[in-house]
Amino acid sequence: MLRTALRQATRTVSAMTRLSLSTNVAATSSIRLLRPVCSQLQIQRLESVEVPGPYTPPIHLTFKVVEERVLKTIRTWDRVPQDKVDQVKMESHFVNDLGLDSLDHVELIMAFEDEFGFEIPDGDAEKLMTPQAVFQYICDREDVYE
Amino acid sequence: MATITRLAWLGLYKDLQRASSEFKQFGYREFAKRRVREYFELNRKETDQQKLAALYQKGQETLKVIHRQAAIGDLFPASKLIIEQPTPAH
Repeated sequence: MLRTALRQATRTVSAMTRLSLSTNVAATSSIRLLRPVCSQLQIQRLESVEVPGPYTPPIHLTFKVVEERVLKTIRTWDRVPQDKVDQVKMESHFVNDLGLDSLDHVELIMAFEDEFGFEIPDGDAEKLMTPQAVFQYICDREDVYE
Repeated sequence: MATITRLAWLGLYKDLQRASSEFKQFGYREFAKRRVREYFELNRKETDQQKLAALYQKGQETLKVIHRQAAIGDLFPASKLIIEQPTPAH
């Protein structure tokens, strides 16, 4: 069934190309005739193919989402002291409260970069010493509004 | 000789860590990250400017080595370890 349809289509196409060489008007009319055959074939073929769905829309960031993700990033980061994981608040200072050193701080900033998908320049990273500051920075950068 | 600023050191550390995480193979990746960290920890107290300059130079060269090795590693297929697989949702 499909094979005969294909053969017919090929024949029409070859006839069409021959026609298009002779006259343009004839070619356009034969294209119009050809179109339904082609679309049916295409539909048959496309039905068997798994089409990847529409792209996932970007997540709309809100203050709450950003805050949760900032805290989650800190809690799941592997070198945060285990006894202080529960005490992580938006106001806690990375160096004074959590006892991280400058190298830890760099790695934590890298974790934020990975989480939110953009690079934080070194000059800015130096000033981000609390989750609150990181939160503020990300909200400014990503245009987050309520 | 100009002193190397704190920001430059932290920048180098970040570059090294970023480059190290380019390794596809779990073992190499974790080793490189740990080793970079260890070297920085080891020389934390260093104050001699000449030694510091030499260390900085070494860091820059290591960065190139890591980049190169990671690129070479990309040429060969590497399968993820079982511990790297995402945990199936329950």
